[in-house]
Amino acid sequence: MPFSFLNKILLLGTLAFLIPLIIHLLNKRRLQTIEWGPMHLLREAQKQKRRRPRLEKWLLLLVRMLIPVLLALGLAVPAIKHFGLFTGSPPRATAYAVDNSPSMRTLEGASTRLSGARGLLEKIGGDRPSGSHSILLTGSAAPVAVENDNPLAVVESEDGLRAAGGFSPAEALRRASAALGETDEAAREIVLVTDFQKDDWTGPGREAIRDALAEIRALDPSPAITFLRAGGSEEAASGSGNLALVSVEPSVPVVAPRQPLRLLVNVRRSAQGALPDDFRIELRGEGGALLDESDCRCGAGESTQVVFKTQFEKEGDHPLEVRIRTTDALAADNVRHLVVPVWPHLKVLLLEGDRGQSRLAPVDFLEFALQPNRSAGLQGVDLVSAGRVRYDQFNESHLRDVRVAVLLGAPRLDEGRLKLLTEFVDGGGGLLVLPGPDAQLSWYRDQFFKGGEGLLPAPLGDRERLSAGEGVVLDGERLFHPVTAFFKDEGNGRVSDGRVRSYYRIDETAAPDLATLLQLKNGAPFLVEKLHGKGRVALMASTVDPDWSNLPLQPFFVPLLQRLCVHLSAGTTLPANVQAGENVAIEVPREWREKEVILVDPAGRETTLEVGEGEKRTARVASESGAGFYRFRRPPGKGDGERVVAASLPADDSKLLSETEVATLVEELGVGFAGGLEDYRALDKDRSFGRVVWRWFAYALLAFLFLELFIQQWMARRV
Amino acid sequence: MEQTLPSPKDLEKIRGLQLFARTTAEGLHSGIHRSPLKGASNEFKQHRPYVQGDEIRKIDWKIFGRSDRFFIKEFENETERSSLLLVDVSGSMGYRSPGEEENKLDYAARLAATLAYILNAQGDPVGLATFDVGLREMIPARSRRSHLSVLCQKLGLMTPGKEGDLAQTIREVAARLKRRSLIMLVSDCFAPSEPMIKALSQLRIRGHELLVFQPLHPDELDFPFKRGTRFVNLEDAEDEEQVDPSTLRKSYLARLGEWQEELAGGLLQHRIELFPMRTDVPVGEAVSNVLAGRGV
Repeated sequence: MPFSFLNKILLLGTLAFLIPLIIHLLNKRRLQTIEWGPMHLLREAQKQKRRRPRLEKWLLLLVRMLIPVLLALGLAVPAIKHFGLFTGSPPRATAYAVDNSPSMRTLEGASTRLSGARGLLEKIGGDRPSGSHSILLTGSAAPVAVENDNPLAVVESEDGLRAAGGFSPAEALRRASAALGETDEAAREIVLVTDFQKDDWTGPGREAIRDALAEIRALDPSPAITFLRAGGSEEAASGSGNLALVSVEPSVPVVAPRQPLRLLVNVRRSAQGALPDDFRIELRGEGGALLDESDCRCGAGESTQVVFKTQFEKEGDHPLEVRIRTTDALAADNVRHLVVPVWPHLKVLLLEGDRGQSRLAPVDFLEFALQPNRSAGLQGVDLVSAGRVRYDQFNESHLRDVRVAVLLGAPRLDEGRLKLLTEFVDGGGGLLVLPGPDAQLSWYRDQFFKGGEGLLPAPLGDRERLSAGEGVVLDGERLFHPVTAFFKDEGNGRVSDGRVRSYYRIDETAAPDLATLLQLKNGAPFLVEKLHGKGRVALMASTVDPDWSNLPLQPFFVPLLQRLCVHLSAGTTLPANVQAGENVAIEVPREWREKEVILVDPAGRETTLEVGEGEKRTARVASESGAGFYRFRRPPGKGDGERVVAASLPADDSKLLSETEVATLVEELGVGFAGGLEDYRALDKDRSFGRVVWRWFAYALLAFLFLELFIQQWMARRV
Repeated sequence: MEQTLPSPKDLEKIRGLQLFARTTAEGLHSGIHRSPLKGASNEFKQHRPYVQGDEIRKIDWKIFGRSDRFFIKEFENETERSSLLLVDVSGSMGYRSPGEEENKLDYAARLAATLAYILNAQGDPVGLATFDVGLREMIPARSRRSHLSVLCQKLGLMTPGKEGDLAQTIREVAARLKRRSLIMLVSDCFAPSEPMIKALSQLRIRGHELLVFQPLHPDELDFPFKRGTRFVNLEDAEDEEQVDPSTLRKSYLARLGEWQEELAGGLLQHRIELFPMRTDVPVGEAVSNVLAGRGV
């Protein structure tokens, strides 16, 4: 349809043309009738005037009927398509939705994809007729109105674009469409500038894009949509080769002051590209201080690992930055940020049962695993400081400053101690339960589990005893929990070497909120946990006894217990390391009594955040400013202290769609595609846009008002 | 001609008309009277069929004896001038303002009755003819006193008829009038002026004298209408005009003036006098004005 209206409801106003018509008809009905003699005189008198007054009368009626019609049409914001046929291109509103994922910073030749896109968009903007509007949107920032001939001026500034985590084309299209809804032009276009990251355009993302396009196409006027490829394909990008820091993994999530920390750095090099094989990796601490560096070597298409060792003197959040010194295609993946929380010693209380006949009781194995340095009489520092007391002798004073309690081989607890332990967990403490051979299963089920209300995560079933030498191994594949995911890398210990000969059946069906940390190869749960109050309770199906399993003798046992204790002690502590784009949040320390905290984002901008109400006072914000450190501070003058959260880029952000895949994609989605400026110009030439022409109607309305007045005056003069 | 018996209302109207004529005429009589010419001729002219009002003594009984039909024996009378009141009863004479009781024809009847009375009082024979599309009725001129009643009865029962055709009427009247007469036409003359003048001039050529009394309603003269009006032709209900009178008044009055001038001028060329009369002016006053200019 060559005509459309942006405000269709007002078209009803055109019915107002009926008003003068009705008045005319009413007047006609009110005529008086006279029976008359000298008709010939009447007729002769009328003869000269008859035709013209009648004509004028009809003309006047027509003009009067057209006036409300024009008014209504004007208010309904009419838009003419194919306008350019008469007057050249109409002004156009363009929303440039720019992919701001890190890969847009990939170097291609001398400039990044983003710089290439900037040059392209400047030329496109320059082609736009005068009076056009441009709006710039990045993945997550608010739309910004920009100069028509320099749409990406803002993009290049730090404010306009920082590499955020991911890019959602569907979301970008929706936001662009909403921004265009604010403009007057009927000629509207969305130009989506992207390098077509595979992850953004495949899977569930593709469906979301299709939905967003359907919504946009339902609009009237519907904007034209063009996907503009920023830079070339992956092949072109890899011309100069790329080194990527895939991950930096700390050996333990939390350390004590002066406790050695091992950082495992994984580096990958692209298959193509002419990069030198040798490069240097740096570890930098607070304020960019160089803590360590390492020369390493990596061939094309290979991966390599580097280990850094470090330790911290003081408690608190310690930011670390690992960086590859290189000039490769994509600088964004040459650095990773990490925060290592340093806690005071983690006090663990072992509530032991009867020692039995063995020379080494389970509690001895546990104590050794929790504080290996101290147990071996070494100089090294252990995070955990373990104490022990009999399960039937502990009292409130034993639990003071304890972060984790381990109930080991206890037959049962008396009521008072069960209550004491429950209060301890509810207050944020961690509890690990290892039922031994003396466990009274009925008490464990009725009092300790208590239908899901008690401390025990799940009821215990019968004890399974397998003959010596057989046993069942731990499942080394299903390692999804943060505590056990560390062991996915077998370099950190082979979980599947663990063999269990005797264990209690854990009835997971009776406890729906259960999280499984480890399970046996036969599918039976081995280590489970659940939240209770502010704390966590973990249950192991076996105990730490060589007769029951070989766990105490396995290399992974020490890190597993260490990580488990840190995990249990943290209660529901918020993560210190997140992926860019996710929320960063901290639990505000108790001594910070203010209702606000200051957030300093990676760009150095300060924002004031309100502290959430509730038992746990948290401050939360989306990591929109991309990768780096988000520092939470007390308001000025309120005292020192800082909490830091690190946001890192997704590990894998450089797989692009191939030319063929892009062609299939745009054909499937039915949108315009341009690989470059000439492509875009050719595409644009064939398009016809509309133009809002309400002004014409306003002028016509004015003219008709004058015409009505003129005709009336003229007719009056002729009487 | 089919005639219905006059209703009591008609009878009252007739009596009223007669009384009106007498009182009006007698009020005018003194000083303006010209003695009627006397004399008779015994020269036989023709036989004609008897019509109501003819004197019994003029019936030719010999012919009655032969044919069993009444014929009147007429003689040439050169000294006595007879008059004919020729009253237009076409539709246009039926005009009256909304709310008015009397129309122009009623006015015409009073005028004709007054004139008849005057002439009858002088001893002049007076006849009456009414016409619309053609001659509707004709009563020959008689000078007897009682003839006035006959005339008044006819005048009182006149009703507006169809479209007027004066030319046709004149032809018929001319054929019927054997003697030169004074013809007093009472008509609004709402017809194109030229053919009317031409028709009336035919009567002049035949030696008749002509006076035209033109009763016009004030609405027709002033055109006072204001709001939108549908004018329906009194002589043809299907003929109508919708006009905005306020826009037409000026040109109507101009055209009326022109038409009156054409008519008066045209008639005067044939020595026919035109006396326009407003129907809101009393008949007595109107007749007095006419007689002041010309004795009847």
